[in-house]
Amino acid sequence: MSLQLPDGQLSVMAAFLGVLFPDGEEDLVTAMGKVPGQYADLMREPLSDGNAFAQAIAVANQGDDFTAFDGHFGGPENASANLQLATTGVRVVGLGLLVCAAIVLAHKAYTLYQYGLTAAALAPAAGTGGAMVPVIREAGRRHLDLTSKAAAAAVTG
Amino acid sequence: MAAELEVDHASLARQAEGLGEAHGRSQETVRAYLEEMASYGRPWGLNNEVGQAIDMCFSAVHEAFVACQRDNLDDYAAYPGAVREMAAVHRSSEDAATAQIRVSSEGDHEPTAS
Repeated sequence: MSLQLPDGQLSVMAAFLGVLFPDGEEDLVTAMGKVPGQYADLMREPLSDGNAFAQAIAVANQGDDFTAFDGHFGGPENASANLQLATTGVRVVGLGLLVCAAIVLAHKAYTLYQYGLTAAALAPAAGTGGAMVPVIREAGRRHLDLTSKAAAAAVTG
Repeated sequence: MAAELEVDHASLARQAEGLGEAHGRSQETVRAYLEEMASYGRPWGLNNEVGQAIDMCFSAVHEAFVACQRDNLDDYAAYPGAVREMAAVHRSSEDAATAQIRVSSEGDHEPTAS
């Protein structure tokens, strides 16, 4: 189950800071990240069967057109080779999503941590007449903003 | 010089069928994959900068992947037809040559008027 914002004081902190708790669901991102690998495994069979059929044509028949067909089908940039190459690329997409799931979780965890820190800082500030409250709010916002920017930069590279 | 010509019509028909079937299964696998990925929606969330960055990157990569699959599956779809076409061309050439030989052969054996 994905990390949720607990009910109570911490959810009040989201309203106090004006920073929404991230709505990502890292469990789903993780599940989604596993799909490309499964797809790549499934694609291997029809592509390999197709290659076998194409090779059989070149073996069982002789002629200029069959030689040309073999050269085209077996070429490094033909449809079958491109589809095969795409299965490797899609595996990388899956790995990227798994990394993103970790980033989503870390971002949510840090946001919760910052809510907690802000709540802890507000308790003694209330005793001083509330003069420090705007400063604490600004500090909390800035930390969350910086963290979000750093995490977003990690995603976009 | 042209290569030696040897055509196995029965196997050509089988290979064309097999290529068509491989293409059909590939297409179905791609369709199922895209459907499954779409069913997740955007689980990284969009109410924050991190989710938006992931969404931007994933969308760009996914679009490129979809275009690549579509183009290559379209190209692949032409192979079974090309093999059938080659088989048909060879078959008609053989038939024409056989008919020609038969005509010539019959001409050679026609009784000559004495």
